[in-house]
Amino acid sequence: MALTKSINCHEAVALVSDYLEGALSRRDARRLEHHLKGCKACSAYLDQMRVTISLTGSVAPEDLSPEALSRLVDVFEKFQREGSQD
Amino acid sequence: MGTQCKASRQKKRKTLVYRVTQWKIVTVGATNYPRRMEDEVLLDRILKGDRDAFTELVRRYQTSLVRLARYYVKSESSAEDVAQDTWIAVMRGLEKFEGRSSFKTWLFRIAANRARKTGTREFRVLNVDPVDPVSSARFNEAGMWREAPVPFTELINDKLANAEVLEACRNAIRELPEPQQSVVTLRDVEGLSTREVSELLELSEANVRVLVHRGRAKIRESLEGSLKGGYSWH
Repeated sequence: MALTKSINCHEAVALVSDYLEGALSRRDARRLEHHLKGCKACSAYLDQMRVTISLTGSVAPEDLSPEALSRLVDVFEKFQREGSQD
Repeated sequence: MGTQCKASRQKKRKTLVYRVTQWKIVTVGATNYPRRMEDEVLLDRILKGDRDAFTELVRRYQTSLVRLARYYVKSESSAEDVAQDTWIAVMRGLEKFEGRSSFKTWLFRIAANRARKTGTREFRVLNVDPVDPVSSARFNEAGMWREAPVPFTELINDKLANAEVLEACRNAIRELPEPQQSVVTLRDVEGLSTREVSELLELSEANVRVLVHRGRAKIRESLEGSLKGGYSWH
């Protein structure tokens, strides 16, 4: 088995997003994991990225302006009326 | 002892991450139809002419539709027109929607097709070179952190902070430049797969990953900055 070439923190953080995507090569994933085992700071960074992704997936939809919403609802009602006339 | 502490820390972290993931349910149920109500249930009601169900669906997806359209067209108003046309196409096609894909995927495909026809992307050639997710200034000559980052799970109060943290996150997404904003919206906000995003935006999966990586890095940095600036999360 080939020795895992160690990486520093600067190199490790560049791999984190792809690591979380499961898109790293096995070798790079192994290098990163090896680094994370011994590096509290990079583990904290990984935690930050995980929480960031989780938060991003949890934001509520933007509030639409009443005008924008009523314009679309008008379209819906017009469609309903025309549909019922067919 | 050391192992025990580590195990305890890991358990705590898992618990907190779990709570973070729960926010999706807790924080987005402000309309008549809670987020947990499946899109497909709303579609059934829309077919029966339920205006509120349609309104809820619009609330859920309008922002993402406009962002997706914005990737292809030149102005915000053109993107809004594309989104409106998409809703009309949805109403016309709803009876024929067979549910082979999720409604969300179907909706975004319609929007992407319409946006492509409407406009030509301004940035045909994307700069997708990998960039440092964290400023080089934060590392010393040996490439080690000068000051270690603090895990967000240790900083976020799990009960009260939700709305403020999520608002900070929402602002950070809003401030992302194109095309990162479209990519992050589809991949992380809407939860589409990298492949689905690559098809909708006509990008390679590798490019999607680079853009997601950049967008996430900016959001993370923004959240960290908010916290350092004395943002009240507690």
